[in-house]
Amino acid sequence: MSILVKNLKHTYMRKTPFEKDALKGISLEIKKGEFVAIIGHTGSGKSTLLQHFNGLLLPTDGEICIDGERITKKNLLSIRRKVGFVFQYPEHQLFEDTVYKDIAFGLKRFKLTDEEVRERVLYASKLVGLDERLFERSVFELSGGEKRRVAVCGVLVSNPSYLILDEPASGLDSKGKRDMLALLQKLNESGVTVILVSHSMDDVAEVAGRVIVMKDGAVVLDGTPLEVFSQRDYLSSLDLDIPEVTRMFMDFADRSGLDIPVVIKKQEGVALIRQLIAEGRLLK
Amino acid sequence: MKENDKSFIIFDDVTFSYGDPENNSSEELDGTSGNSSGDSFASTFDGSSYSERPKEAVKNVSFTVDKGEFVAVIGSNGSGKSTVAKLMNGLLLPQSGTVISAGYNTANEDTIWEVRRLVGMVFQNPDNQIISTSVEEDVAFGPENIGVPRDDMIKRVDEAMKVCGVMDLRKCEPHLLSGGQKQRVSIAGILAMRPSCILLDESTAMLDPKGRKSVLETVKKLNKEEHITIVLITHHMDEIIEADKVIVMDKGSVVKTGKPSEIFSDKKLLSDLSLELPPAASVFDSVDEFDFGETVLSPSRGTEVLLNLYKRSIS
Repeated sequence: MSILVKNLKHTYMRKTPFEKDALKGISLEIKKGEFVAIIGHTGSGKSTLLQHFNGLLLPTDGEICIDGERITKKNLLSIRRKVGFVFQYPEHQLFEDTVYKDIAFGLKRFKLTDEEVRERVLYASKLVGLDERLFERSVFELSGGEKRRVAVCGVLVSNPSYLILDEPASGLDSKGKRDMLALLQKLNESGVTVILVSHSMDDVAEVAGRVIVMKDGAVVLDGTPLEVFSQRDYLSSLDLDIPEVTRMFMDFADRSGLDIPVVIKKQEGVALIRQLIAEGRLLK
Repeated sequence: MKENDKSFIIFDDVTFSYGDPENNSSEELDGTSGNSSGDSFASTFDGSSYSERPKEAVKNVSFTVDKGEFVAVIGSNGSGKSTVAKLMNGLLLPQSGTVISAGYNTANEDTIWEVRRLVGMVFQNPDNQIISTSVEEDVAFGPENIGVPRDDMIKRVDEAMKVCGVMDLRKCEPHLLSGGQKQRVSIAGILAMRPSCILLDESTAMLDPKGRKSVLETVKKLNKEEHITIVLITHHMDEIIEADKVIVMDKGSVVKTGKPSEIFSDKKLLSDLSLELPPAASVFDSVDEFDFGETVLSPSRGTEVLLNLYKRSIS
């Protein structure tokens, strides 16, 4: 069970003077249950790759298989039941007159009874922490964080095994962002494969189990957050940051000459400072 | 306002609510409904129950912004930040209380255009505020409209583009620019109007880190070198670190005003408003059994603090 990408190529505006190779032969496998972050500078091909995972774009060359089934023009419906896609600023796509109708919209083609629809909506809204009392409200009365949750909820009603998200936390306030990342972790723990694109290295370090780095339509690094964020100079040559905490401790290690491990999460940073204090290396 | 008064914007007991028939605000509601932050739709979630949308988007707000100051306004979605920004240059008018901007009461129709020239505003979505077919023409749009003579205008436009680092893009078509470049073009357009103050209403929210950095650097430069008053409205706690003053808003009220370090060290306030410290600050904050001697705000400062403590241990 996995998303298998084999020698995937995508060319925009083929056979025109504007022809551009957006993906140049990508091969990778994302196993069921992984939490993957794809990072890369604007224009590196992240979103193009993402849109192949549920057939929004079809390969110019190469192939993608979801749980062994190759994506073609003919099986898009069954693929999209398995692979849910949350666009960037998904709240811009809310259009129904009530929250409930908007969440349930995606179920229309599933030929379910009203009762089954209601059950699914309730289940999904519970997952994202959306209060039932909001169901009859207009989506335009909600705060930014709530709207985002409604939009994600509208994807989760289909009960996807793979959830793809383009910048799920951007534009949210601190609480909205924290709630969104916690939701994704919870979904992942319940078995949903999460694949997201993010510009925030701090968020990626906290939640992802695997980081894929893209440059000019190719994968240039693929590993654990620790492995990837250890390569500060290389990432900086791609115009990518490393997490704030990582940078802080790396600078400290460089300038003090101390041999300390690479730190990527906040909690690891806290533990490291406590350890340094206990060892008497930090003195008031 | 007196000649020698250093206050530039004064809010005196200002209250404003949307949906007030007298205020004819339906247009305003439509205008902001696509805004992802949904600031004007102040529906709040308090953990257990949804309260009704408060009547006032902003209530009894008083504060001042001094000339040349760099002021940040923070608060969660729906706290009234954007409403405050729109009250600052008279896009909205208070239902009670007064707003004095650049020395003029914003409720005075005779001077409102002068207020809008002096207090420019950059919005959140870079695609919503560029109208011309080239960067240069877009920057010239404002001065053109107020009838600036051609020679003077060319000079103003060139200067503005240079300061904002978009000179090389002058002949570019705006839709080919990145988000950060578009926002800098918008700032240049304001600058060409020779303003005293620039309001940025979550202008970095939709940008990638590089674009964000370039906009913030431009804004800081304008503040330091051109002495332009800056009001920066943001969710990003790391953007407020270098502000002179931070105004914290919640549910339509100002709940605290102070220096960034005062805001960052007020744990009760942060947890009440569920505001999150930037990662480096949060690491130091979590080791609360140790006195670091200061509130660490940025990673670079964090490195210095660690180095100083380490030097003491080896000397």
